[in-house]
Amino acid sequence: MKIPSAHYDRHRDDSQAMTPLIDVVFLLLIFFVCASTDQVRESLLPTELAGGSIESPATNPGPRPLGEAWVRVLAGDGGGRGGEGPRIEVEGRSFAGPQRYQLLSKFLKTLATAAPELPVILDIEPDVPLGEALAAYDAARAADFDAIHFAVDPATTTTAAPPATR
Amino acid sequence: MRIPIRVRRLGISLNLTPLIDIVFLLVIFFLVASHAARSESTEPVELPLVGEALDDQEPVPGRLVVTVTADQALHVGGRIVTLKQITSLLAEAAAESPSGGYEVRIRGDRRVPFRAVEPLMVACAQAGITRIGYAVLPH
Repeated sequence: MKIPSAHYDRHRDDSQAMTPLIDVVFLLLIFFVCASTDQVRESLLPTELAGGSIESPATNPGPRPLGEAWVRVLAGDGGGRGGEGPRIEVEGRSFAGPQRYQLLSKFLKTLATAAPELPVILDIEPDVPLGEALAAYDAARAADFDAIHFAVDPATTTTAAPPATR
Repeated sequence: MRIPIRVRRLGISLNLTPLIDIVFLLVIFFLVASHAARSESTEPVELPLVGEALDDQEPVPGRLVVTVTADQALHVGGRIVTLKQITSLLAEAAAESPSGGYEVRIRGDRRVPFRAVEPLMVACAQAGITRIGYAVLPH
């Protein structure tokens, strides 16, 4: 009679190999669920200020722009909390309603194509919500102007140093 | 007669499961610890929506995160602070990094009026800090 000297317990090995696999897979699952829960990826809207005094040096090598483009964001009746929301005035044009930022962006892109060196000055009323103010700034950035500035109420600062951006 | 069967395994088996378990536990620990360290981002705000948002990838030598909640309160490091305190923080930061690499991140609620944020920008400009970033969400 032949007696087997050794027996490879293949079935047992296979069943045991599944346990750590399931363990690791579940650990991975829990890890990614915990990592993705309640995590909103924030983006950045950069702004480059002019520190201290914003007065430009007298020896500016570039050509002087012919004027300035003032973008006035007026609070309006709705104030951004329903209703019409803020109204935007640029170079004698007025943009209101839900499509105001698309129209503003289109107008500013046309303006930037003709004169990208034109400094854009954002004059935002104090009651305008931050979301609306940044939407106007975003539209000016998208138009790719060389310089975008924020106009500041002199009452806000004691040294009358309004920040300039970009 | 019952003949005992000798069970023999092939080769040397190294069980990596406990090692992987511990490594993943360490990863989770450091993830949670680093999240707690960045406690500035815990105040709930509805961030503004913009189309030209950039990914926050660039490392900076120093950063002050100021959160402006819907009630116009200013938060730094999980504490409510005044504009005067922020101004002194900005002065200290500007003195520590004169090269100008310091950044101020404003996490403002989209409903907060601009008058609550405007003094922050002015304070940064007066302190000589030129890098300001608004935390936003892409459209």
